[in-house]
Amino acid sequence: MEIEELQKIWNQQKGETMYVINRDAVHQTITRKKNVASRKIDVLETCISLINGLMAIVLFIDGLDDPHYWDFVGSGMMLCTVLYTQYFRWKRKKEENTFDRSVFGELNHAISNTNYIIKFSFLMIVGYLVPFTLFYAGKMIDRGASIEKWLLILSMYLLAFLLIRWERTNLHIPKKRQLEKLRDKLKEEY
Amino acid sequence: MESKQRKIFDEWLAGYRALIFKVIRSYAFNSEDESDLFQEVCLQVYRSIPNFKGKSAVSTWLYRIALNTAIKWSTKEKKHVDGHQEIGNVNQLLSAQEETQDERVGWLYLQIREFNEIDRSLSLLLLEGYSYQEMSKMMGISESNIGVKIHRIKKQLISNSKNYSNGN
Repeated sequence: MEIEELQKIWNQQKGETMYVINRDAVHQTITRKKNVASRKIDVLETCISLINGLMAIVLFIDGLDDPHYWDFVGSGMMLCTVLYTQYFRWKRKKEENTFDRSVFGELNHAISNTNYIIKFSFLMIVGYLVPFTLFYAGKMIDRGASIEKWLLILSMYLLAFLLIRWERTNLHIPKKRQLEKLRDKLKEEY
Repeated sequence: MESKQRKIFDEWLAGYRALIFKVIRSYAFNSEDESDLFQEVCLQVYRSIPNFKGKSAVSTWLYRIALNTAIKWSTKEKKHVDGHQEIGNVNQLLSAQEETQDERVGWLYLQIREFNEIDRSLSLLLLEGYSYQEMSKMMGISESNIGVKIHRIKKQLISNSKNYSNGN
């Protein structure tokens, strides 16, 4: 048979009755999967925003009680990280539904998105958590903070650090590796 | 917005289910896999609705999404063999039905399944009559590479069809 004949055979196929769709189950599944897909990252972003937001309030109140320029600066910086996290979240949500025009294009896009998230995690640790921890540790030593305050501040930093590291190690890096493996496998064909 | 998206999804599913079924049948080999892949394709189609600007035909758009999803799913699916993923808890979204049709269609599916993930997509697009240019856009592969691949696919299909016609 020539290819035109094979195409004719193929085109006879209407496929209408090949399967019966359980429509309700399809809608339930879509709703469930849609929500599950980004829930973990949503939780993480919310936690970081809440922790930092709370820290901003604590520092602001602290600054009011005992006026000190750096408390307000610190509070403002914390607030900036909340805004940055929310901006990042908005951007991620916006790009979540973006489809490229090809298999490789879509894969590259997915890898690029994952890279972006990994970089963000790294930035949160190196560019924010470490300097802030050092800064506030120094400040608390200087001002003789109570043990409760030490515990509160340090436990919040520790929690934020563990959350960021968990996200990076368990979600994004394995996902990136999986996508790269798939892309390499497909590339081997060409 | 959500209800509009759902309406479009229902319309696409009703109007183009044959297209989706062809992809499912080419990539999934048992009823659990069929349902699993079908739910993945439906999810991706649903998510893609806000991005559909009408620059291509709906069928082309759906083919691209269904094939991209099937290729990715197919690679992930191999984990099932190693027992890394559970497949027993997948909802039965599809029930296979007997379709009275030319038995050569079934033979064609067997041939398609013999190809690797990318060639399966290309053979489907070839049988659907898409041009090299359209295939290139959908797959993200250069037209010259498509040409080489399609030449090999055609050669294999024609050769196997001769054996089939001879009853081998």
